[in-house]
Amino acid sequence: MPPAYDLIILRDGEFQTKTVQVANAKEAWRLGREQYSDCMRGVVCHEGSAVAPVEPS
Amino acid sequence: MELLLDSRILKGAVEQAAQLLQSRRIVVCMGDRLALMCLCLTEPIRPVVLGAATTEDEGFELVRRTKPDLLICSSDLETGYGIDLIKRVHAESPSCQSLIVLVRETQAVVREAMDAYADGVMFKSSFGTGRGDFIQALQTLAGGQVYYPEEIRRLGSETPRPQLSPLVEPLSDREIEVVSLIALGLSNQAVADQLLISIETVKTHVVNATGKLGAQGRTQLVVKAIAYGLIDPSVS
Repeated sequence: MPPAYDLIILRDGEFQTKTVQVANAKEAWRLGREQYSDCMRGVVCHEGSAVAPVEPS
Repeated sequence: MELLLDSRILKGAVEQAAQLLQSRRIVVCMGDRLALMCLCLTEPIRPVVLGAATTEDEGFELVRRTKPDLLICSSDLETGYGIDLIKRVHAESPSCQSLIVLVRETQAVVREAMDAYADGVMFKSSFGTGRGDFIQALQTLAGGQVYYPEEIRRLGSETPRPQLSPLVEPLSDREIEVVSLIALGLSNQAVADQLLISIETVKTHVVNATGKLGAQGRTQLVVKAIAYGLIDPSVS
């Protein structure tokens, strides 16, 4: 099963999180930016489900 | 502010405006009747103004009727709201560009204007300062691009700070560094590898930072660090 990441989204001054399962952090950022555009603020991996580090592009 | 009517800058601006507006078709909508009249009667603008109004509904009807290629409006209208007018105009005439003059200089209003996809955003207070926002906006829009001056961009991109109690103990530089990497999606092991420290040390920094921010868990740690303005992973 792919690792889980929390996408941190800031909408109308409110922080929201959404958990996704993708291959790596770069993929999580790509997905988040695609779906939430400028609202994307961060990505946090669930410890224990992590893979090798990848910087966001 | 003293308006220097004979200044070279002002004269140059009038000449530039005349050039930039030559082939434009403009609707102007402003809640301040005096400002509306002054703008519409200004020589370079008057010949290209298709119509002018003071309310959102009137402005929208003018746009529907006259099909302008540029709407200039202020945020404050006699009735309605300039940013709502822009949303309606974009839905009705997607090719019509919009330039909004914001009266209030707050993050919320700037974000509203950006979220409405205004092509140009400027503050009312920048008129007459010599900064040239209005001319630059016309110039940029003529090139099919959007014009957000630096102060608008800065205000629009700042993270709003919710009501947060002051930190009892600030995070150390190392703790901030660790949290920054976690916020990029790195695991503890990956953070350790990147900073050339042990995973146990990373965990210690995480526990300490979590305690200082009163967070519960890694995700809340990152959310609070962003909210406090300690990190901004979205610009990495």
